[in-house]
Amino acid sequence: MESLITHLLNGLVYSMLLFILSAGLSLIFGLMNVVNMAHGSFYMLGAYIGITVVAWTGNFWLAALVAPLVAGVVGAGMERIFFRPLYKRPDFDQIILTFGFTFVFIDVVKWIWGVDIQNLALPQSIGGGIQVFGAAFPLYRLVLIGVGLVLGLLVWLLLDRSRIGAMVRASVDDRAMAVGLGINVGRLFTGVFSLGVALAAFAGVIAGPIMSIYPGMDIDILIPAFIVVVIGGMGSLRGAFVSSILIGEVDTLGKAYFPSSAMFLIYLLMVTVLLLRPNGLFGIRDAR
Amino acid sequence: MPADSEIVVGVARQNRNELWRVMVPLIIVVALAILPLVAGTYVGGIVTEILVFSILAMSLNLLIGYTGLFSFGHAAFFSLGAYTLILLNTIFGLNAWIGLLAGVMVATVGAVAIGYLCIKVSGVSFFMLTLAFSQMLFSIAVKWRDVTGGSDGVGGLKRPFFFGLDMAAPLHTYYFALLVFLASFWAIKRLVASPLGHSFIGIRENEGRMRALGYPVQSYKLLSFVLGGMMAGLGGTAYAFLNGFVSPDAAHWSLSGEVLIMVILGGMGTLVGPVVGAAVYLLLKNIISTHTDHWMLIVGIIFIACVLLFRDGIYGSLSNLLARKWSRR
Amino acid sequence: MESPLSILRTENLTKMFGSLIVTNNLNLSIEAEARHAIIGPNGAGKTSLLHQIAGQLRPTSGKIFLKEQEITGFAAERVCRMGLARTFQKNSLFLNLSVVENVRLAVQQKRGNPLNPFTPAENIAKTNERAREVLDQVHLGADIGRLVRELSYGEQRQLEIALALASDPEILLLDEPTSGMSPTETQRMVQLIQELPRQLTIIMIEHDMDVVFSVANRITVLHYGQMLATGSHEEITRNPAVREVYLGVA
Repeated sequence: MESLITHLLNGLVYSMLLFILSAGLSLIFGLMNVVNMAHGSFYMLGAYIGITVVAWTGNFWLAALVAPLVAGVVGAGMERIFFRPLYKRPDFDQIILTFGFTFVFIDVVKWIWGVDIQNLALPQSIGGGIQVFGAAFPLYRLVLIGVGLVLGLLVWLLLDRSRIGAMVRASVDDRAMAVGLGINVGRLFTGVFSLGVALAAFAGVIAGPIMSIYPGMDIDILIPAFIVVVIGGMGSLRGAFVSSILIGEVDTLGKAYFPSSAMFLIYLLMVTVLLLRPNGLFGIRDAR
Repeated sequence: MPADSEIVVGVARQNRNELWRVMVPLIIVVALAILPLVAGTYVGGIVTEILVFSILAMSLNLLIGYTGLFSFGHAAFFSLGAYTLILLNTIFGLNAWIGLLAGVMVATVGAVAIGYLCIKVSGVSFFMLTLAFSQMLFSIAVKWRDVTGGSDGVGGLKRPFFFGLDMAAPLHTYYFALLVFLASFWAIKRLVASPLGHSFIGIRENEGRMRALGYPVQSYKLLSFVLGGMMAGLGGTAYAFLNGFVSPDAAHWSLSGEVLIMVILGGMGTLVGPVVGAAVYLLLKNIISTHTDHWMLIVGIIFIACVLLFRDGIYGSLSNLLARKWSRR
Repeated sequence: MESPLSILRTENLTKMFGSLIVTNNLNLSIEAEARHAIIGPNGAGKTSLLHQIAGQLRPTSGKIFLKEQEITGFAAERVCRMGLARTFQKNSLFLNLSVVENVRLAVQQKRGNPLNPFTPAENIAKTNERAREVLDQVHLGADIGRLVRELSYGEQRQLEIALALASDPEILLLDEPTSGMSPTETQRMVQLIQELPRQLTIIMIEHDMDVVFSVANRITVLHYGQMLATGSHEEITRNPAVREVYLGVA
């Protein structure tokens, strides 16, 4: 029973990481119809920037602030300079452009930080463990779950309650109409892309203490993020939340109890959803 | 009415173009034929790899460049071909020549099954679905340790003899790869100029119009998918034949990504583009990487430049430039 | 009520987009070999009607019969193979291909072997001859090698008709064939349509009344998706409802 609780909680930890990562991915797709293949790269970048900030200042929380900021700026620049010329082109061109950037990012990361596997030290303040339903569980991981939930709430509030959020939702729903209403869709694109990759970088930092940091981590996290977004529904925050929990738990429990078939089952789930409900479970947008 | 002198110049120019069109491919084929004899085993090995990946790139180009099907799961058929050859040989002792055929057949069957389902959706969903299927195969390759050897892969292919020639020798494998490449290139060349090839292009250009003209577009898309998968299976089988070994990397989506880069880099929708793309990418990966650690950065930058500025790719842009220069003279 | 000569007819055809009624219980009957024009103000549902007949749009209810065979909801490719061809109001061509390549695609589907993976298409005599034949018919015989995106708008409209003709149809649906054309181009198009074979049934959506009166021997007036009147030129112009709604005369 103990180990089941532990697995469930660990699954939740992974779910929250996936959620923070895929929320951005889903928003970017929902608004811009772009599958950001470089999303994992920003996750990786966040982790490595975290390493540097901690190395310079010893402050983990500062790192968790700086990394998404840097990523946001880089993302904004990327969107303005490289994506803008491609607006009129078919969506495919933007997808492959982001794929090209994965090569650039991974090289830069290797260049600056080297190829060895690294680690982010657990912040001392929440280094211990506590008892949860009789099982000892690291405090940091619980905090992570909390952070994921809070962040989700904040993003939801932003989308649902703020004026900017209304503009985003309008543009997702009907881009031409939004432009007609005078919404500066271009700036919205830059903003949403910037926010999306900042979330990815944040996920990278907070994942640092519990996962290894290495130059291939962008590739390894991308597909799970894709799966979450596809199943949840591209463009749906609620969908991303529900399917993150689903995938996070299935993956973790699968690795624990059905190690040989878990991966296959998850891909089978992805295939089934794409065939039967191409809009995902909560899809608000046609994944054309 | 053009002057007589202009007509003479015009005919001369046409003759010169015709000469180029025959001579250039001939020179290239001859150069490839004598390459390993003059350049040695190391260069021969690299070119062998380029030839095999050219087959793979040409097969993806059939889908993406000629039919407009943006698949991201091509590694599936490459790996089906490769694993079939190696496993049939190492588990059942099946002669590798027959294994070659079997590999292509298994890849084709896989393409029919996967294609039938993938064709039901389009756009980003198609992209994701092809990715999902290829990852399913990847997961089988990794997890079914007993059969596929898991992440360690499986090797030990016993290469057959060809009329007394031991196919394990690098020189012989080079010519084998060259022959398979030339055959594939010729097949694609005939295909894209044929009515079927034009049907694919029509679907890429204006699907709605093709329907209004009576074409059962879904069936044609499936056909294109299957032909592309079949050729990818050939590429995979050739790859396994050459290396004697296969690992789950052959089914990983990063391979699909690399082949996609080759197609775009070289020039999608052209005959020679994928070959040029494969050559450029693999030369950067294998040769530049010995001089600098940053071959990926270079590839990335060139690729981004292609997508933004030279959408016709290296070969496509060059041939457009040359065509314009020649028609102006 | 269908006449025994009707080659195409609709039965209570209705199309709704949400609560917007685009086709309203339409009972239309087209005689074989007719030159039947469909006119009406913008938004009368003319193009939507064509889309439902030709298979681009699925009707909400009602039926469509082609040669007394039901084709309601059939996909475009099926309807085409049954002998119906259409042009589009907004040119739907293969812009990056040459003129002859465009028509060849249409011809090879009907008379060639589009699954042939081996013979260069430009070498197949039968297909190429037929393509040239059709292009001559629409007066584009001199432009076979040109890229379609380099053609003038009028020439592209001519090519639209060529594509439809190359499908060997029994029924030809023309969606505003002269839209956007200059008077000279319009004259040429009218001449082209008048030269089309007698046995071909032509259904034409048009706004230009001169064209309608030059070409059509039967006219149907649509208004808000309903048939206002059907008849000959004289019957339509004398019909008071039509005069009020469409010709603007009380």
